[in-house]
Amino acid sequence: MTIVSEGNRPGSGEELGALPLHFIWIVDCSNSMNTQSRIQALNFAIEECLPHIRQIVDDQVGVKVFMRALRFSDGVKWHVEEPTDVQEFRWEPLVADGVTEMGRAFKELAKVLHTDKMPRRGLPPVLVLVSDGEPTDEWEGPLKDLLALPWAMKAVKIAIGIGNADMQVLQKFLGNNEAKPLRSDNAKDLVSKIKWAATSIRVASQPKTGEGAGATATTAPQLPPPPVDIPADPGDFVWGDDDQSGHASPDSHVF
Amino acid sequence: MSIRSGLCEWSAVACSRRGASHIRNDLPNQDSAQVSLLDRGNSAIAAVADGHGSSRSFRSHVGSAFAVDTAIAVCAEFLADFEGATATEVKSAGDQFLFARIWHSWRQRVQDHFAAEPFTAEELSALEARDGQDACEKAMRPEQLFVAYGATLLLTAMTPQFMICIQHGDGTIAFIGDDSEDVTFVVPVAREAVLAVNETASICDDDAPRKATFRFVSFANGMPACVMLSTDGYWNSFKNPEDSFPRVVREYAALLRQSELALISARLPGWLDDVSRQGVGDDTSAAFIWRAASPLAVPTDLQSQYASDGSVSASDPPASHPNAEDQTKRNDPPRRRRWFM
Repeated sequence: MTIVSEGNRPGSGEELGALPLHFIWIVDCSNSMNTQSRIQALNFAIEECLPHIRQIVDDQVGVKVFMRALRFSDGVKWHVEEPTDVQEFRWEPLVADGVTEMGRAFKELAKVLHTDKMPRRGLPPVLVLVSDGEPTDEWEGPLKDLLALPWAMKAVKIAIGIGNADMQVLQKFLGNNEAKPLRSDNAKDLVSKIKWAATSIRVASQPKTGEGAGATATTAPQLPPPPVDIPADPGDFVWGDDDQSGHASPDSHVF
Repeated sequence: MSIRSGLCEWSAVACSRRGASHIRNDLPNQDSAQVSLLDRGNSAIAAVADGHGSSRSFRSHVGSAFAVDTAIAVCAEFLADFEGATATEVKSAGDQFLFARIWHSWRQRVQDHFAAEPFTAEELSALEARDGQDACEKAMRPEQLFVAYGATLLLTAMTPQFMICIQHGDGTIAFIGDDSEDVTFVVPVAREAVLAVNETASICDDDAPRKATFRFVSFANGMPACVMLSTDGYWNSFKNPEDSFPRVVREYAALLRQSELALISARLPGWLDDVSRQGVGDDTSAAFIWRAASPLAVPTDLQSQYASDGSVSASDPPASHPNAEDQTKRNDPPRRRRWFM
């Protein structure tokens, strides 16, 4: 029989801890992101939102946010590979060059969101995809495989299209018709939308609700309404004004 | 205080504590926990419920209190009506009707509460600020009423002959035998399942009776020494709950059988607070039913239950409980038949 002291809490020898929440930035670093200071604006926006995220996490007792970042252009590469406590996370500016191999990004994401790689217990992950173009590789199959994963199904997914990004692809990433990708056409607006994306942590850590009457089956938490579009300040770039085809400029190597 | 030896005497205690996160954000405890001793301790019922606490379930603290209260009252009626029935009858009726009856009663209580206290402007504007106008408009629809009060529900009843358990939503009901170290969970945690910890079935769901798990355990071959019910704030607070929680149950079982009720009553609130603070910060509730090592250790003419702030209250069985009714009514067949209507 287990000998237990009446003074000790039963189970005091067992390890307690906060719930992990994994937050992953998935960022388009194709050459077109060099146009009109888009990549600079994105770097600034992510840096700006970090204190905001840390404050949200401070307000949530019992939740620990681990952040990482995946970049894609010619191939895919982890910008921050190790899930890092957001309190210690530092953003190194991204550099843009290459094409838009979004399909490879989906494949890489699928590896890390596989049940074997994720914690046994945790809050739904948050995935934020930012792109200004359309994929230049096969993306539909990898996306389908990604969205079939349990953790991807439960994830809070946000997609932000910069300029004339292919919004249909971003809509497919979101995986359901109720959520819509956001479009941003200037730096100031992007900061606002990235900050809103960061507040999805609150949603991901929100307690459960029953479905009630007439609800459709959804497995991801619902986000609050996004912020209204903010017009560019006079003199600032308006992304998408340079395009004549209605699509983002084709990416090309810089030689 | 009278002590008597009988076929079986159960002790029971429940405690529900506001989580560290809710204290920080000035939110109420949305869990509830309650126990009831019947027939001078020969039967015991325990229930815990976890109100959802999301922005849409802004009255879930009320919903969870209704859930445990209704569950215990309906279960007590069921035990009284089926006293002397065969195991097959109890199992069949319990499986088919017990949770459904609890669910209907809960919905009635919610409707009565809403009729007396409609949603306030403050509640609705808080919802709109958090989730937008659409969410606010949706909450006003009659068919969405129950979402505001949504909660999980776990229930266990012990008699000298059997145990019945109902689990609806997350949380754990675990029991352990006299000489065994094995802990059995009423709803086993599937190791391959993805645990997004903020998802659960709810008593507010329209199809809630279809999602409830009912278990009947006959004591023909022995009875459990202890059963522990807890809301998911407890389980989730461990880094490796599948390994840790069975050890927690064993340690509680050993402690309860060695210690006096007053000691457990005094310590339990602090223990639950400790788990919440070091763990996930959620409201944390636990209820126990156990057989004392010696009948002399068990007071049998008191019911003890915790209020949601963790204080202890002890009272005589309320007159409304079936065990206060005329004994001659208990084996009346029409009383059983009404469960099948």
